[in-house]
Amino acid sequence: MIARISSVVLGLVLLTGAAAAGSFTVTIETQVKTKIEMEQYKDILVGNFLAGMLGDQEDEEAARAAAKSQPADAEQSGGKPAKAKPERSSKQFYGSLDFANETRQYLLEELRANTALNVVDSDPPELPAGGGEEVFEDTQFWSEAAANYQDPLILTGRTRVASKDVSGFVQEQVRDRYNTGRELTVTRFRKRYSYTIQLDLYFIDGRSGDQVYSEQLQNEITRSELDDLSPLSVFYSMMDEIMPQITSIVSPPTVVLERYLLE
Amino acid sequence: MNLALKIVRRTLVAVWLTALLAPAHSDELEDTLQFGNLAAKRGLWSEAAFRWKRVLQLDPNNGRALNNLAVAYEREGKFEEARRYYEAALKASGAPEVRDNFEKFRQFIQQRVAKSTPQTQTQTQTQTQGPP
Repeated sequence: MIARISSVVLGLVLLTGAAAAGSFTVTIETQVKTKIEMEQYKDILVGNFLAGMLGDQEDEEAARAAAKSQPADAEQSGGKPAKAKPERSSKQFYGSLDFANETRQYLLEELRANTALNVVDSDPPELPAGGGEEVFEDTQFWSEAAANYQDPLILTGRTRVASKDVSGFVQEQVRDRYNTGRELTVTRFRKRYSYTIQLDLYFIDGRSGDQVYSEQLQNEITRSELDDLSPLSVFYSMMDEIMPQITSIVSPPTVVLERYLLE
Repeated sequence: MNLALKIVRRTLVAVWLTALLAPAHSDELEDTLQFGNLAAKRGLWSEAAFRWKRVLQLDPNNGRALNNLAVAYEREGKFEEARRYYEAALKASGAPEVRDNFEKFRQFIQQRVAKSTPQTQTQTQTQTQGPP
């Protein structure tokens, strides 16, 4: 009896020992599937992009609505405009920067550098003049256009940008002036601007002209006026941050993970 | 005193019997598992997976081998297999490391793999630099 109990106890001790055996961490690299099945595509054509200011559509609608009600408003307000002009509009900041072309050039270079795809090195088909977003669903236009490029995957879309003044009072931690090491919370006025980019990306199958994937990406950064930024540097800063998401649509991203192995 | 001697003697007999009756493959199992771990440490994951599978042939409910194999499958991008092995490892072993692995795996799948289905997506990110 005692022998049995002892063996059971010993067995339990051995089991506990095994369970309490150690572990160690390993770093593994795994690849996530691309968002598009890429087996059928070797070439990618970066098409032309549409470009505009974010909020343009809303502004246009507001302008139309304002135009309709202008006589009544003008009478009520004595002819003065109802809306105050912003201090610095998006258009003033971005000026004449050609976002459509900048977006295309940026994507060309990044896809060439960061994917194994053959990025087609010829001029893309011109988008219909005066056309809107409906062109991205025009299967006939894309299948005809792609016939000249060995039916690649086509990346096209629309870029919209905006900037707005987000200045205001902020709380900051500062050391006191007597250098005692104490930190004080002070409220200061800071002039800052927020910049936004919105990319509507459309991936189109060159053979059929059908959209195989679309995604809207948006990025916003805030900078102090002291940064003295050019529109192009703002554009590149915003694009740099969202480019990995674009690459991951067509090229499997490698993800580094940490896991435990049991000894 | 006599009783104490009896207990000691019978305990020793029990230890001897346990060692004798222990499954003959336990050494092989342990060696194979550790060999797999060593291979994984050196980046030889195919070899490691092969060893851990051998452990599971000897002991299908070995929580350690199930967990380690799940990690190997996750590394290969075989996420369905990884899930199956993590779930089996959770049943077989209550080790916190297995729970931790499985939780991280689930989060990873939700964040990354779930987004891989082709459809229209919207993603936004915001970043601030300079004075607050």
